[in-house]
Amino acid sequence: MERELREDLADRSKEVANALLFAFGTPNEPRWPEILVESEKYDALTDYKSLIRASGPVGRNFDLVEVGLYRKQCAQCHGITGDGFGPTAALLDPYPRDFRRGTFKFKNASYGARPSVEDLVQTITYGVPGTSMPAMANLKRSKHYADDITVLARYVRFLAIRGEVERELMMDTVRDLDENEVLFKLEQRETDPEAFRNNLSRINEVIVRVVDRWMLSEGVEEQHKRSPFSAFVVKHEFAKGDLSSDSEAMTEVLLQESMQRGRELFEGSIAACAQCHGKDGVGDPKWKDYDEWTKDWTIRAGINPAVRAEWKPLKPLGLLKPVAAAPRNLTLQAYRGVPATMALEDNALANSGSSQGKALTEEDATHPKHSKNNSRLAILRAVLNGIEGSPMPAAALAASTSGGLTDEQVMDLVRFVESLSSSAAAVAVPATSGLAVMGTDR
Amino acid sequence: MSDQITTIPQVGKWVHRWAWAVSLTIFPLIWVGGLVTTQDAGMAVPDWPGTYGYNMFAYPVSAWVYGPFDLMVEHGHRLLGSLAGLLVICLCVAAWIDEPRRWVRLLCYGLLAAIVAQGLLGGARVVFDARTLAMIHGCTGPLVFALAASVVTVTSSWWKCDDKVFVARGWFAWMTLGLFLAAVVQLALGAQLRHIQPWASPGFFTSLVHTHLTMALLLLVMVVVVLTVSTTRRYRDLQGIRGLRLVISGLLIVQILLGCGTWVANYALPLAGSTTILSRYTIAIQGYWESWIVTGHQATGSLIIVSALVFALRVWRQTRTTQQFDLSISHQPTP
Ligand code: HEC
Ligand code: HEC
Repeated sequence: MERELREDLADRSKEVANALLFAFGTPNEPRWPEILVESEKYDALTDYKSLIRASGPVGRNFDLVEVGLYRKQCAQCHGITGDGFGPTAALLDPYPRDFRRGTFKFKNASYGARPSVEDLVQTITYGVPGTSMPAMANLKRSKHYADDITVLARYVRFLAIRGEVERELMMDTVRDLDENEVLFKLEQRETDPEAFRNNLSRINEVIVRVVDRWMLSEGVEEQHKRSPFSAFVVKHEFAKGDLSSDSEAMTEVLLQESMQRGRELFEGSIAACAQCHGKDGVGDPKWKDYDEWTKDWTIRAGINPAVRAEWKPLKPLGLLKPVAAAPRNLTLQAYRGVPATMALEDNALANSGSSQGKALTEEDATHPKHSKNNSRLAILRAVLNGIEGSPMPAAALAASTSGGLTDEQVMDLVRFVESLSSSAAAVAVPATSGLAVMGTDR
Repeated sequence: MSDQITTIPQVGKWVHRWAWAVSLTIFPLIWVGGLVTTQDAGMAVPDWPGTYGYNMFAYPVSAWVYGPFDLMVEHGHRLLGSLAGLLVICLCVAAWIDEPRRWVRLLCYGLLAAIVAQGLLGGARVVFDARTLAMIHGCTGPLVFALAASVVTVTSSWWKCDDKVFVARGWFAWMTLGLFLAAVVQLALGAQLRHIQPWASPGFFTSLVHTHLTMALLLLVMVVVVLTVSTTRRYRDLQGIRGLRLVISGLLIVQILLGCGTWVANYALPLAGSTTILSRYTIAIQGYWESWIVTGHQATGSLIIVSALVFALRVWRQTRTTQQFDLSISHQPTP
């Protein structure tokens, strides 16, 4: 019985693979599905330039245009199809991202929303510190490689869309189709055009559904209005860039009080940060929760990831040993989230003409994240937007939930987290630092 | 071997000089070749033997030097390769004119053949756009380098003089050869890692890494053994290996450090979550230092191969089997 089911699934996955091939092409010659190319609505999405430049084997064409960028820079970790199963994957911790879920951790977009291309550009440009995800900022130094990052970000989006379609087709077919119903057969185009068209339109529905989710995140403006973090930043004019410059400093006493309130929130039941990060912020050594990518094939499939005997048999299928997604040790004051408001800052710059706002220049492009400004923004974003895919939730806010955190409280939390360190907590925070900004401009 | 005939050191001096010239060109050639791999620039020039339709030597300098870095590296590698080819031809002419030992002349012609083959292999890598050929090309490069270095060794006047104190050839001599072979195997493993196909499985890559590390340990042990034995009373008086001992130990230490550096530059810091500095560190793609370290690891590998071979050759030059001892005794003129 179980074997039959398996064979059935194997047939189905072959059909899905063929459907994908038909719609999206191959890793050497990818294409956008017909249905998207036909519609003007998706023009911004379906550019061929990035597909051509990012896909296929590495090299230059006779017109000197470099192609195969994804294989040159990314595939050894993320895998040729973006399944996070590249050759090096098993040796890295955390594992390289599997794009096929459409889930991304570090983005201005809200929890559950797809990242915008700008979000991806941020991650790719600055990498993820403390992990194997490298920064490509070096590419921007030379005019010959300047637009590689955008091309790669767009290709990541392509791979993610393709992967999501694959996932949903798989789930749909398992759920909706009868055993003898066909999902996709190319031969039918000749033998039974009617059935072929019907099948194709079912597939196209899925494609459009997936792509429309991504379209919601397009346009920086839209995006920024939508997520709690972006709304917060805009509301409090973080967009002006350097947060410490244009506001009066908080007095030492006020700051201490704010941090004290932050500590209470951190340990309290609304924010409940301590539940995961521990009272002292070091994290929890006995942590046993997993990220979404792992849960997909373990907990959700009835397999206990903590029990070796249960997941071991699945390893040959191309799955990596489940590793607990531990809460960060916040006392290290090292944050992985990409500087969040660069796009906003650029906008603000354009608007105000202030040079102070320029937190990120080409020169300091490689490691811009660890400035006070950016650390604070990373904490703020982690709290407000959460870190999707990991257990880290988005905080409940007063604006949407009764009993949620007020803006004031959010800033208390941020100040407290920022002050966490393994040695004396408060020492690291001079009273006049940029921390003060949020509390005073209200 | 014709070691019995003491050659006059003055003869064939130019052969030695040209052999040096070839070797000194091959080393940077190997660096640049390594850089081609580090930058994944193997196909930065899509055609071969031409360069973007130009004759290789006529490709405009400005397009080369001010072009994208990968193009510069790849085209530079080709030009340097041609230079090595030119020099080895000179070497062969010199050997033909001036080298009395037939086997050395053959060795020189062999080097010419090897360099030509290496060039063709590099060309085939481009023409067929085949990463596997690139990997083989990367493994045979250091072997060609080793061949050139052995020509340098056997054409030196030290080699040609027969006034040596010969020692019985024991397992030690074989062990020096073993060291050379182990270094070659290690380099081949490294080349596999560097040329990994993007669709290779994580399991395969992981076991490659583990094998490469195990082999590094083995090499370390072998080097310690060989170098220690070479200081024992029996071998203490062998000539020309004292400096090489230092070179090999130094290279090995540097190589291990570079290996760790390569891992960090490419993949991750160990214990990234332990301190603030480590967890703030971000790996950079195509960074300046990163390129030097990774490429240096590969180039140092070839230097280890070469010095292990020269070491072995020098040991073999001064050791003899019991048979050879008997032979040379029977050749002694009767008083
Ligand atoms: C050395 C391995 C490695 C290489 C090369 C690499 N990545 Fe990653 N990447 C990672 C790892 C590991 C993560 C997971 C980081 C995490 O979960 O915190 C990641 C995460 C990501 C993410 C998701 C970040 C998020 O918000 O969830 C994107 C997008 C990404 N990589 C794109 C790329 C692109 C594009 C390239 C090529 C230019 C690339 N990566 C090259 C290892 C790598
Ligand atoms: C359910 C468990 C959980 C709770 C509750 C939780 N976190 Fe986290 N947090 C995590 C995990 C897991 C990560 C690591 C995410 C990753 O990168 O994979 C994390 C990461 C972070 C980061 C690092 C962000 C970055 O950019 O690197 C910060 C800051 C943070 N949490 C702050 C908080 C604060 C403040 C609270 C309370 C409002 C909180 N967390 C509540 C689990 C939790």
